[in-house]
Amino acid sequence: MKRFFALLLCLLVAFCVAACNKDKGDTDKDSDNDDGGASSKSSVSFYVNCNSVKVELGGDAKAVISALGTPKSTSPMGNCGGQGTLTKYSYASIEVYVLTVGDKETVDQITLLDDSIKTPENITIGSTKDDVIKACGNATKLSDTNITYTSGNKNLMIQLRDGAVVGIDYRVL
Amino acid sequence: MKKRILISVSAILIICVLMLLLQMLVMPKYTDNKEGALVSEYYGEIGDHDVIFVGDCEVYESFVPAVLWEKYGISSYVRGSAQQLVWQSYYLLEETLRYETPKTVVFNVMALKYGEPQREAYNRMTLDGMRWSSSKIGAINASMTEEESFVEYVFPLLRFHSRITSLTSDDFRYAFEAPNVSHSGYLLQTGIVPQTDFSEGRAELDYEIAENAWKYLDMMRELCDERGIELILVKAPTNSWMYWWHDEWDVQVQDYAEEHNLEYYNFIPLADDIGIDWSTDTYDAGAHLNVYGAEKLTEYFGHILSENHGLADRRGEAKLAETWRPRLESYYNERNK
Repeated sequence: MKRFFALLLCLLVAFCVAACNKDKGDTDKDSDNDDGGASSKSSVSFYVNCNSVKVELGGDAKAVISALGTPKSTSPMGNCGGQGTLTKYSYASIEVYVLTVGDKETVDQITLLDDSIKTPENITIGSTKDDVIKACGNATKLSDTNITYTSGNKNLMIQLRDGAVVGIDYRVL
Repeated sequence: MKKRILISVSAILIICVLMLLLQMLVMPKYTDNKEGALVSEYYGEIGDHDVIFVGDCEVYESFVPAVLWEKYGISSYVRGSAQQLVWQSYYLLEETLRYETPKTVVFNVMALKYGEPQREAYNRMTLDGMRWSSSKIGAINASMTEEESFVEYVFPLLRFHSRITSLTSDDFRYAFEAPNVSHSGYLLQTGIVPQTDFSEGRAELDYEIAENAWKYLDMMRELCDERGIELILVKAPTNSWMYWWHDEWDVQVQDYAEEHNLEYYNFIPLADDIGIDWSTDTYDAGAHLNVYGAEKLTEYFGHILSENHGLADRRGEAKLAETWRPRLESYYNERNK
């Protein structure tokens, strides 16, 4: 009987420990694509250079914001349910959205505001739809108003109007 | 032989009780993040509600049942939760209708932007507070992300056992019962952080509301139809860059409402009529209303419910009025602190 009781206890403990083997962490829909660069699913990179500062989607934000200098404005907003804060840092030619969860600050979105900043594929606001397809390759989604390149949870979203680029966003979704 | 069986059964029971106690200890109590505690509070206030609100944070921070009762004699409850997804709204409603049959259900449409499971953290805040039923099982199955497993909802100890190393005094104090954080499901916020950034929201990958979202809205509508309940669609007046309600979504919801003969109130363009002042009526720079904004919206909507949807003033019903008396007291005690 004692042996039976001990066995049952061991089984219960083993049952609980088994759950520890799974890496739970925060179960955001994050992909394992962390290199910020091109993947086999698209031919684009998910970063821009702004005043010699590499702003990388999904990358560490602290150093980036520090290097970019004092923003024109900051606009923090809390996520529902205490799941972090999203802060929009606005600069002259770029907006950088930083997601803060605990001690971790990551670049959640990059928005290009004018043609002074080019993507690594040399696309700017004002480029044509044909320029985009030629430089970036086949899109994940393509229409007359939007071109999207997706790799894991990283997205390059290009808005078009009358065949020309009017908006460029990099976004984690 | 009998003695052996008795000892075995006793041993198993003791282990089960110990595991249950451990589970109650390690489960998050949400005393610092109150939004996780909302769903279970409904069970302490079941019954005789004319209006049930379902939806996400825009619902539990925009509509004040105490004000609906005080000003219009409309008895209501807000079954909201953080980032409550439309399938969760459906199952929460299905569950609620086991206990009572309101005249009206109000659903905030913001959640229609999501067509698939999002985050475990939000799932937990909605699902862990539900009593076990077929509705909870359905909600879990519809909500789980790839990393989650059903057994961890059945035995939350498997999910939260690692908290054993970071327990706080609140975990011990509130292991069995925690004090209510809401007022009939409304989460009161008195802080004021003005909205100063009125820029538009960010671009989305796709503006088509997903089939899965429509599916559960259809199910909600059909459930209400079967029970003779009016379903009303609303969009809270908040429209910050972070929680932007795109015109493309609004058009789809308008079309749906028209097709199915539903009322849809988008309060965003009515913010001025409601009297919302974005310098004083929000506690987080425009993402959500504080109590001052929520009271204004509730008074505005209460008038609509009363005048246009036939919801009767029941303040003359002594028993119901007596039920609401301590709720009003509790509400104003916190509001006026």
